Amino acid sequence: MTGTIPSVPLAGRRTSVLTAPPAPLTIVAAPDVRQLYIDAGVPSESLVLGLIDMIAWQAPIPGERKHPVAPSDTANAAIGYLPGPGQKFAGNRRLLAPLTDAFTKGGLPARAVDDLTAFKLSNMAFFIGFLCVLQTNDWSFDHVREGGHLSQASSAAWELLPIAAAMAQRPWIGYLRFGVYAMVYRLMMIAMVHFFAFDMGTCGPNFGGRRWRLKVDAGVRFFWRSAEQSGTCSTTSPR
Amino acid sequence: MELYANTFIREGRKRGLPTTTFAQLVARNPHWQLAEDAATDERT
Repeated sequence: MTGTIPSVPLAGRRTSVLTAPPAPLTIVAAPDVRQLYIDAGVPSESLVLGLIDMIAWQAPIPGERKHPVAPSDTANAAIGYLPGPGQKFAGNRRLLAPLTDAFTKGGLPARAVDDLTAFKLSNMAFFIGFLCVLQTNDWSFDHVREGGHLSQASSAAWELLPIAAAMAQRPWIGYLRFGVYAMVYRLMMIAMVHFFAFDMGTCGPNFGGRRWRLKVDAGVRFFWRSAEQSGTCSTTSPR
Repeated sequence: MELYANTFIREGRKRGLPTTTFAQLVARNPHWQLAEDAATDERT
């Protein structure tokens, strides 16, 4: 019943990948992909918009502190995952009912909504630049904190939020950019350690009682604690 | 994710909105692939 189509062929408009057997329900992650499915013969009424919010990784990774598999235990490597707070799907509610029921019974609360476009696009416009610099820097929060990575991520959000507003026809999304600065991402990284199963170079939840050092980023002068100098926690390999 | 990235760049260009900073970030990410139409003049 389920399957995935790699996004790169879709991005390259190689629609031959859509020649799968017909399914009662097809989840489309991005609004502009919807037309590709319709062009490939998938009935429009069976298309629903949604994205299964879940972060998954090959566990254990360096710094992981909650997963039962020790980093040295390569024989028992597993996939770690962190589900999102709630799955939302937009489309035919009759078709969606069994899907949202299955997700909810499986431990991932899900519900059908009337319009997902604005919600998804605004979230994605805010996060995608940040995720891009994280991935480019080997998912190291330490690396991302250095230099201008967070400033670049916030500059990207300033570009993308007006685009998301235009795509969703919701002008208010564009105004969100006035609240997006490097500092916002930095505060988010501090909060993230309470939700992620691994440190990612952030020193974990005990983010206090250490020495401060001065750094400058995006023209904003501020302090943060130096994990490397304190020697009280492990970090991913600093560059 | 690269699908969303390409969508934003493509839709931004279509609407005449700037995408330069984001496109440069994406081009630097070895795990994401810019679609050919989205990559135009970002890698030069």
